[in-house]
Amino acid sequence: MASYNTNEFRAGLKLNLDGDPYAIIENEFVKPGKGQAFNRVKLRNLKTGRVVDRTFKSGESVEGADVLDIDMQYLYNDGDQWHFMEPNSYEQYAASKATVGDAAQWLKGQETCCVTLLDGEPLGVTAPNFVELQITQTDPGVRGDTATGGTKPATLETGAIVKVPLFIEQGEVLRIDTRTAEYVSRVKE
Amino acid sequence: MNKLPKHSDWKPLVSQQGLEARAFLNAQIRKFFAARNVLEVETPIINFFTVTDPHIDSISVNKVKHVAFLHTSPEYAMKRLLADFKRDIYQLCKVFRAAEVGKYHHPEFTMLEWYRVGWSYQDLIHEVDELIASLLQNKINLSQTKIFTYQDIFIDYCGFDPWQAKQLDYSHACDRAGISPSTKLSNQEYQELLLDQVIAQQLPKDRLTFIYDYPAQQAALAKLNSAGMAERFELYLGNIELANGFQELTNAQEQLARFEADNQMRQKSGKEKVVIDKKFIAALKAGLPYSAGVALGVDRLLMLILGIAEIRDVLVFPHG
Repeated sequence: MASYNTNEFRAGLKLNLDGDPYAIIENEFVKPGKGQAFNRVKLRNLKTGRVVDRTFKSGESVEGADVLDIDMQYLYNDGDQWHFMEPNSYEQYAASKATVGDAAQWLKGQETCCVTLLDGEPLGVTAPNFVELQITQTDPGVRGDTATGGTKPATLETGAIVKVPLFIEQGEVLRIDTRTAEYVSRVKE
Repeated sequence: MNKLPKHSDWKPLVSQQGLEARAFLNAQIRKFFAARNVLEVETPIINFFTVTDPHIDSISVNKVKHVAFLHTSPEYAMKRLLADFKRDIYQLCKVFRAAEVGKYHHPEFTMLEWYRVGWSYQDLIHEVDELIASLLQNKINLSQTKIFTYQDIFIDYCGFDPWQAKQLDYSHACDRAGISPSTKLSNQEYQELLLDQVIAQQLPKDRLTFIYDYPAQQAALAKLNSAGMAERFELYLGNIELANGFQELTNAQEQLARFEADNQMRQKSGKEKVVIDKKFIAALKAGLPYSAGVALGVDRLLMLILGIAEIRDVLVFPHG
């Protein structure tokens, strides 16, 4: 496995620390006076999601994590496992509920997701940045109210609940930003 | 054919205000030293010898038949001038350091360095204070400058005495600050990390803080006093390190021994040895006058004046 020098550190780089895969969130070069330089790094544990701080001596090399980010199509779930397919090889991968995590609430089928693999096993799933989903339940819309900025909860076809403006009606299809779980716009059918 | 860069890529990054502030700052610095009869000098940027400092890496350049180095500071050359002319000098120049890139670091930056013959480092601390106060006048309201010994600042801000401290004191102080080193650190590395990342972070934003009398291992080119402490000082404005000064080491034998020790440390950490600058050692042998010297980061001062958070934003064309 490749190793990386601290001067190659950048956000998104995947490292192996104490046997666990981590992704760099932030990297800051600090050098006290005439002394040793350090890289103060914020990393996310890709297994647990926990964020940790680690301070490396500049010049140190760290082993890369053997993880791959692959675009796969979400097929279906059987209540226990979520099934994905790599579109070029047609190879299928099954991920547990815990592995899919929050991404599950945006998936109804056919979406292209980013599946992170560690030693060939799914480690995490990232939903597409934007999804389009229909509202299955919300209070009746307040016609013409586009100005007050008020919101109400709406349940989407996947079960996810998002805040939407008051004028939105049940049955409408919405564009949602999955990174912030926020309503973006209505989708005209 | 290479693709042409985007139409706006040629443009300077710095603002008009930044450009003018730098010109004004340089003019003020020159006025300050002219009024005090300190002579401006220029020394070569390209040199055949460079520093042995274990934590500074030089940028090398090809000169016909030889490899040469861009100076990392004008210190050796200026001390050779001091040894011969024995008078007060200053230099305002670009210096170069490989692999230093960060919020406060850029491989090419502007340094102000000056030497006072017959002065103690304590005298020089006061002159640095006067210079900064005059440069920041009507720009930043400074509170009363505070001067600490290295020992006192550790006691006040870290809660232990660095002269008595054990590894556990250092690692606990890191823990408390949420700093987890990836490998075992030496006491010296802990001290450097804590000073920069824990102590400096607690210093009042509007105050000049001087720290003096460093551990002998961090003497660099400073004289040791009778108690074995290095007569070295550093200046912070808020949490940003601005300047580093010495009671200059004048003993050639001791200087050579330190350079050799530096080279051993370089080898231990997998770096190449540096050929020692014999002309610099010879100048010390001929007699460097009793003097104090200091180097100050001009870009950082400009960042503070302009309220800019990243060094690259005060440079006209920062490296990629």
